Amino acid sequence: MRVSDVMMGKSFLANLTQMKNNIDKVNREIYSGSKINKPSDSPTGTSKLIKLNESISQSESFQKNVAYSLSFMNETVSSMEEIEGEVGNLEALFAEINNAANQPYLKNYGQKVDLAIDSLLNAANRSYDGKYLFGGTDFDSKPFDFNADKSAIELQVSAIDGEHNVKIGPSTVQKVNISGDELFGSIGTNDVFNTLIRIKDKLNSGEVPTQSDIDLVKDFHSNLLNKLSYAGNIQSYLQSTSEMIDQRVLNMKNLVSMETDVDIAEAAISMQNQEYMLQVAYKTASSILPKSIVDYL
Amino acid sequence: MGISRVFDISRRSLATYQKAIDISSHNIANASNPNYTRQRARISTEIPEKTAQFIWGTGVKLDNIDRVKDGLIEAQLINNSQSYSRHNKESILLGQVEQLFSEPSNLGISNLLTNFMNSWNELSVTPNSVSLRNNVIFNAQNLADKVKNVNTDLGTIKYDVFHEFKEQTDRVNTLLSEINEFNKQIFSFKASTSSPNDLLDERDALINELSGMVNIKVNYDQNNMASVSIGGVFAVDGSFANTFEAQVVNNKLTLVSANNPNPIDLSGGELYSLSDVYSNKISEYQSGIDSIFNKLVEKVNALHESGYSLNDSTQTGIKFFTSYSGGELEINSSIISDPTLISVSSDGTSGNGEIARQISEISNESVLNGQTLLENYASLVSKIGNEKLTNEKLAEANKMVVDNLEMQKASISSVSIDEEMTEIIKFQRSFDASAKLIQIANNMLEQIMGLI
Repeated sequence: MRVSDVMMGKSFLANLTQMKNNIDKVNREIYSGSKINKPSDSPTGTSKLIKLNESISQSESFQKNVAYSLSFMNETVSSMEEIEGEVGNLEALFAEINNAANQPYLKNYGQKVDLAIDSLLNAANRSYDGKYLFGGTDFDSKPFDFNADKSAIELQVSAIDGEHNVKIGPSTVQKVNISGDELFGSIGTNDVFNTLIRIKDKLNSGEVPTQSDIDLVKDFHSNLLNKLSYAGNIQSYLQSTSEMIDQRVLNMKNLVSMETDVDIAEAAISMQNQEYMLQVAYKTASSILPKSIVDYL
Repeated sequence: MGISRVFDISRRSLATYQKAIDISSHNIANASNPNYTRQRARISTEIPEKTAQFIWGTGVKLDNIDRVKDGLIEAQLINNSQSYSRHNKESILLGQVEQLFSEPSNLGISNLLTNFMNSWNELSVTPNSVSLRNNVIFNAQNLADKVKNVNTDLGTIKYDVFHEFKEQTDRVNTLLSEINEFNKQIFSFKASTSSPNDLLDERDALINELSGMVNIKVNYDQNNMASVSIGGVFAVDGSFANTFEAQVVNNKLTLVSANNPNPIDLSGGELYSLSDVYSNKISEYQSGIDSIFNKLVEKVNALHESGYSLNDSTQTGIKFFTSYSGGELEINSSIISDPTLISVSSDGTSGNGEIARQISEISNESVLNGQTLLENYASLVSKIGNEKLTNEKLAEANKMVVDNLEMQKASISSVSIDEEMTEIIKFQRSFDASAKLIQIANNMLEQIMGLI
């Protein structure tokens, strides 16, 4: 084939451009640390990345929900344990009352019951981050309080049966509260507060409380223990969900890494190779391109 | 036979080799001219004479100055240039488009849409939190800003493409007019025995430039006049140059001839890419974005309107987004000024975040074309990337063919300085020998004159 001067120049420039493009590509990969910097670098990879990043971001959002719900449940369980402690003490106190030797001191027991009512009321009205633990979904005012003449405890909100349903997975919604309704039942006559008020009133008037009232307190205690177990299950479920989300996020980040991360060692070797080729091309061109027969005439 | 005959032969020889050296000099002078086609001196023997029953050779003559080229390669080069320019231009334009989307990164619509949906999810846990409500508004504003920017930038690219198309159309008209002028000049040399090689080179360079801009067909007549058509419509010949203008017909950007209102069928060159990106690609991408955000507005508003706000009056029927039109996602201004109007309670209680939870679930629902909103968006971005990559690869493939053809063309038609210098030495030797011959003939004549 006849080789003209223009061909030499064109051929050199075309190869040089190709080499510089290769160097630029490897260079961009090294300094960005990513193989995909724009959709056309890998259209399917970009699509995968968008979906993976959404899943990671969503999972991190679920993780926040789980962490918050766990704190809320911890606070709920702590309050329920406090109530359980008070109710347990009250049951022991009721056993003492039945002892004839303690009959003269019924008023003293009445004072103890009175203090226990305050303590229960305090625990039942406890809040976390502006939310009443047992107030259902009405956060506007505390759910339980004495009526005007302090003779009974009444609901201060319209309802306490609202559920806190929290999304903790793409298709998982978990209830993360124990509603006041679930724990204390219907507030009015036979709830634990008003039952204890009746017991207190009896003791203060020197009478032994009725067995039916003591049974109501026992029933409340039994329900409370059930709900504590239920709350513990929720805590445990949230805990394991949190670990699963962590694992899921880790797996997805690995997938992202596989899709985008540059093998720096490989890229550096490739870069060295390209630079070497570039030097050879320059050296060869510098000795061949300027030469012609004119130099020897 | 006289000695003067030696003088005649030598004189012709001197003149012929001097012209041959002139041609080589012209070649060397144009060695770096990319449009130049090397020329060759076609040397042949002069017509012999019959004298005294012998046929005598009368020396050498310059028959013609040949332009060394291969018409087949030129035709292939024109076809492949159209294809290369089309894919290369489309790849560049789509490269600009894909950059607008800022994907894959935290600044893209995908991440902002995910953040927006996640902010509803987080609000559902603590629905009475004003800071989380503000977070929803903040994420919605970020999303709205990005969508607006992408749509505005797509509009800007479309505007720029239209103006580039118009400028290129003007250039096409200029090229056609220049080709017409060259055709006329070439025709004026019709009577000459030699062809106007340098004019042909200039005209071919114009045709090559035109082939990169638009799909053309070129025919040459016996007088070397080039007749060019664009998309089957007459463009130029030796007597007339057509003019074209850019027009938008049925939302398609196209060329229209001055004497024919029908749109030209563009299939190659940069004008095709400009027309395709203006008429099809950008509209398709905008429509893809529009359908995603129309659906988002529809789904979010439907749920939001069924919820109750947090403010004292617990209002319902409030839209979160006022509208999505013209690429602008508008958030209800009342909500921006009073975040308690965000209606996420399904029963009016302040701790109910059911509606927020349902809104966050839109991100996992197949609400558009059997896919989630983000999957639709990922498909759109992937499509843009694919189209850019395909054009880039096709441009690379066409470039290889064009480079190869240009190398073949250069192999045949470009100047080799080594070759030309060798030719010059060869012609110089012949010139020297001819001069020597004159000297010898002169000596012979002097010898004879000395006898008298």
